Order: sequence, then structure tokens, then C-alpha cells
Amino acid sequence: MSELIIINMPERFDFSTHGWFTKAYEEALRKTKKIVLDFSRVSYVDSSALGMMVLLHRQLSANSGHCAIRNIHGTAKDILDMANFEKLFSYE
Amino acid sequence: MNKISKVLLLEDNASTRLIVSKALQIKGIEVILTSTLEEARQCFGDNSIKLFLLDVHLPDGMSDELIPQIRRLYPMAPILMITAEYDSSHMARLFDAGVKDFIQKPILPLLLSNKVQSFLDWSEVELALFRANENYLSIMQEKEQEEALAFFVYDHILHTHSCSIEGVDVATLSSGRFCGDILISAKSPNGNLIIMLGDATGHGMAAAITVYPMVVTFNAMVKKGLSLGAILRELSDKHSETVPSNRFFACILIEISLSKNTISIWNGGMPNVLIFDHHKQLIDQITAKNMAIGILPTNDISTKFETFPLNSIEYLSFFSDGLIENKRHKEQTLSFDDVYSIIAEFPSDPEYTITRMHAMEADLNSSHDDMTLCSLNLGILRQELSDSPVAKHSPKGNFSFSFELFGDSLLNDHFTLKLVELIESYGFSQSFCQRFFTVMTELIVNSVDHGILNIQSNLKKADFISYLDNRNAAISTLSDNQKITVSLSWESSKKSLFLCVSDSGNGYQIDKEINTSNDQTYGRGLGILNTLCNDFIYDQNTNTTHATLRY
Repeated sequence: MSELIIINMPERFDFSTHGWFTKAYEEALRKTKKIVLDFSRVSYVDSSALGMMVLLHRQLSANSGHCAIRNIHGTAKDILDMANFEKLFSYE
Repeated sequence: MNKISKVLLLEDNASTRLIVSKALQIKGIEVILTSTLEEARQCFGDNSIKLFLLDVHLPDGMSDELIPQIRRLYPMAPILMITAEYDSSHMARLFDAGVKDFIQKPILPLLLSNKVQSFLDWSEVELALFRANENYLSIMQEKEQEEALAFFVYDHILHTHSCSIEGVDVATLSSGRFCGDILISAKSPNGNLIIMLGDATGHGMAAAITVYPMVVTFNAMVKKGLSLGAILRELSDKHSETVPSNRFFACILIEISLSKNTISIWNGGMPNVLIFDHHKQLIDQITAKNMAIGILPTNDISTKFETFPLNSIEYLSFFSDGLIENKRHKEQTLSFDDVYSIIAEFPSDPEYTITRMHAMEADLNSSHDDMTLCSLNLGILRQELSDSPVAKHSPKGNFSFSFELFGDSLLNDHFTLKLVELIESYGFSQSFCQRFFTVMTELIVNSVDHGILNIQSNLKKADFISYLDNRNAAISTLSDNQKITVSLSWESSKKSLFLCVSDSGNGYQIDKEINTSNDQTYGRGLGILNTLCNDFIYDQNTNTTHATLRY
């Protein structure tokens, strides 16, 4: 249960991604408590991304899980910083 | 060699002819009987003759005169002479002309037939050898052509895809054939320098076809402004699409970012990267924590980089395995650690180090692998990168357009991204396009979700699932007369893109929205808009949001 699972985020992480993202993290949460969201490819984000990440964080905290964000850059970083997400997720 | 062999016998004496032909037929050898030079000549078109058995004196002349013609027409067929004379100088002349042996009269049938058989067998072996050699020569020639092509491809790659930059010093020692080492560097649109040292498995053409797609992809992705992690994934995807699965590409990827003051390193299947401080002291080594590209599926590749503050490092050395493998010094085979220490002695002089390492080649006679040693002088590179800041050309020529979206067409998920593509085509930078995407999405979503669908503005953060449920429920009530109006206008003199979005909904009070969302992160996404826009105004009278993005 402790193995790290990496979710490779798509170029676009916005409202249109919610189905995919929810499925990806729910699948991961069945196997692990440690998740890494790899933002290497993410270029486009909107406020839905924040909503979805809050949801993921809520599920993880309920199970004392942990989530890290990898290689975040550009606007995605500006938006997560603005929302103070470093309090919810660790950056690597 | 159980094929039936054919022998031409030239003999004017009828009884000798009979004895010889009988003896050979017992061996299963077919005999063509001739008794004059002329008769023999008439058989010369027959390509199946494998051996010539010639009497010397014939009614129409000496058989000597046939020999040059036989040699020419049947270069591989042995010629044996039947003779009763012992004129050794004549025999020597005949040997010189190409005769293989002599059979003395009176003829001993058993000896003759065994001798002929033995020559036939040997001639078969000789023919096989001759063909194998021809084959070998043509393979060698093909291989040479392939090597030349591999070099051509390699040269082409280097000339079209690499730029030299002060502070990146590279020394190479080729084994004379292309072994798949390549060093390439390119500047990202954000000003970062990205460097790749790769080593493809195999050599020659095999290495070239592995390297080629990697280099082309690397350049295209750096130019596109992709992050190092995304470039790595693209390389892996491209590898699995284009390169045979048993060919791998070990590489080191390095990104130097002056704006973030960082240097990030990824090592996949290459020797350690050596890190030095200002005093040229080795302070760290980055071992290969990843496998070469092509071994793992793209999704399993770790994009975790080792990142250091840029000003904590002064020199960096990295190299292909040819530099450290099979090295000896003072009769001792050197361990990799020994070799790393030797390389670490002169971190700023790759030419010297490579010459030194070559002298330590365990076996100088056998061909060695290519050696590539790259040295980064970060002092110079920092200067170089700050001296040549990214030129940011703002698009010339104003444009403006507006459009309206009604009913269900408000729900098109792809709309904003297509708008971004349009904006991008004017030449705006990637970071500006990213910002535009987010701002445009927020403006449209605000109008649709809150203005038209009347969804509570804090719900998206508070409970994304309820937000989705409410939204789905509200969508079913969407009517064709509900609309939003969007207008975009670029003023090049002001270097600003002006966006206006209004909707057919009831509007809102901006102060109230910002105040009620106490952490400012939500409330119609206004926090995001405030952060990303240079100006942001809501006009309650016209229910229109105005946002300005400065380039």
C-alpha cells in the first residue's frame, strides 16, 4: 500500500480533464497513499484544476495520505502559488 | 560433392581415350571425348566442364596453345596434362601457363581417376572460397557505404541542430566510425539553456537511426518551450514510435535556468556527472538513477531531476562511457572510481583529459568506443545567458474581433484552447498564451457558470462534486437565447490585449464577491484574474468584465 504512484498530468488540466483526473486518482488511491502529480507537461490550467486538487487533498487527508507536485512551472505554478497550495501539497 | 562432374578429355590415341574414360566413368565422372584441338575448341561453350585432361601432341598441333583460352574461359577449372615426355623445361612452361599437374603415360587407371577426383574436389572448395570472398568484399563495401551514410547523418544532425555556446566545452575522440555519441544544446524560449549528451547503443547506421529522432525531437521540443520533464517524455514517446525496441539511448539532460538560479540534472544510464565548486574541488556526483531511454515505457520514466542552486557550482563534467571503460594505469585495470578521480583532476580542460584517458586505453590495438567529454564552465555560462536575454518580440499590427455564443454552444470544452492557438499564431510567447488561456477560461466560465447557470461562486472550491452536479442540472435548463459576448482586441502600441466578456445573466457585485471569499482564491475565480491580469474591471451597469493582459 505504500508504493508511490505517479500521475502524469496532461498538457491541459482544466474543467475538461475532470473525468480523467478523478478516475486516475481514484484508481491510484485504491493502491497507495502516496501520490505524485507530475506537472511536466501541464501548460494550461483553470480554477477547476484547483477544485479538483482540493478534492484529491481531502480524500488523501481522510486516509492520512500524501501528495507531491513535481516539475510545476509557468502559469500553473503562478496559480497554485496564489492559492497557497504549498500548504496542501509538497513541491519537488 | 556428389554432383556429377564433367571432364573434357583431349586424346588422339583411341585406346588411351578408352582407358581414361572408363576409369573416370567408374568414379561417376562424365567425360566429353575429343581427339583434335579443333574438336576441343568446339566444346568451349559448355559451362559445365569442371576439369581439362589434355594430351600434349595432337594431329592438329600442340595442346599448349589451348591453355590461355581455357584459362580465360574457365578460370576455376584445373588443367591436367597427359604426356610421355620428360622435358622439364617444357613442363615448367606449362606450369607457368596454368597447368596444375601431369599424368604420365603409360596410364595407371586407378591413380588417374583418383587424381582427377582429387582435383575436382579441390576445385569445388576453391570455388566456394572464391564465392565467399566475393560475398565478403561486397558486404564490406556495403558496410563502408553504411558507415559513410551514418557519418553523413551524424554530420547533418550536428550542423543543422547544434549551436555552440561559450562555456560549453566538448572534446571528442572518435574511434573512426560513428559510435552514437552526441552532444547538443539549445536555448528555450524562456531563456533557459538545455543540454543533452546522448550515447546510442551500437555503432554506424544503427546508432545513427537511434540518435536522429532523439536529436530532432530534442530540438523541436526545446524550441516549443516544453519543460525538461515534458521533453524527456517526448523523447521516450518518439523512441518507442521510431526506434527498434532493442536500441537504447542513454543520456544526460541538463537545464540551466538563470531566472530561477537553478541547474537541474537527469542521468539515464550514463556515467556519473561530476560537480565542482569554485576551487575545482569535486563536491558531488550524480549517478544514473534512471535507465536509458527506450527501456521503460514512457509512463514509468521518472521525471525527477536533481536540482542545485546555480551559484553553488562552478564546473560540471559529464561524459560517455567510452571515457571510463577498459582503462589501465601502471599495469592495473582501473575501477570506475579511479577513473572518476583522474577525470576530476582537470575539470576545466576536457581536451587534455580525453588525451590522457586515451593513453590509458587497456588495449590500444583494438578499436575503442567513442569518447565524448563535456565540461560546463558555469561562471561563463551565467554571464553568457545574462548577456543574451530572450528577445521578446511583440506582435505588430492591431487586431480585434468579437463573437457571441448561445445556448449549448456555451459548453464547448475546446473553445478556449482553439482561441489560444489563434493567439499563438500571431507570435505571442508561450507564457503569455498560458496566461491568456487561464484568464479567458475564467472569464467565460464566470459568465456561464455564475452569470447564466446561477451556480454559487464558492462551490467549485468548497465541493467540486456538488459543483459538477449543480452544473449538470443547470445545463439542462439552458435555453437558446442565453448568451455571452466576448471581444478581444490587441493594441500593439500599448502592448496590451484587451478582453471583454458580458453575459445575459443578472450580473454580480464585485466587492461583495471578493469580500465573501475571504482567502480570495475563489469567488468567481476573481483571485486568479486579479493575479494574472494587469487590469481587471467589472462594470455592473453593462454586466461586462474588462481584463487587460500586458505583453
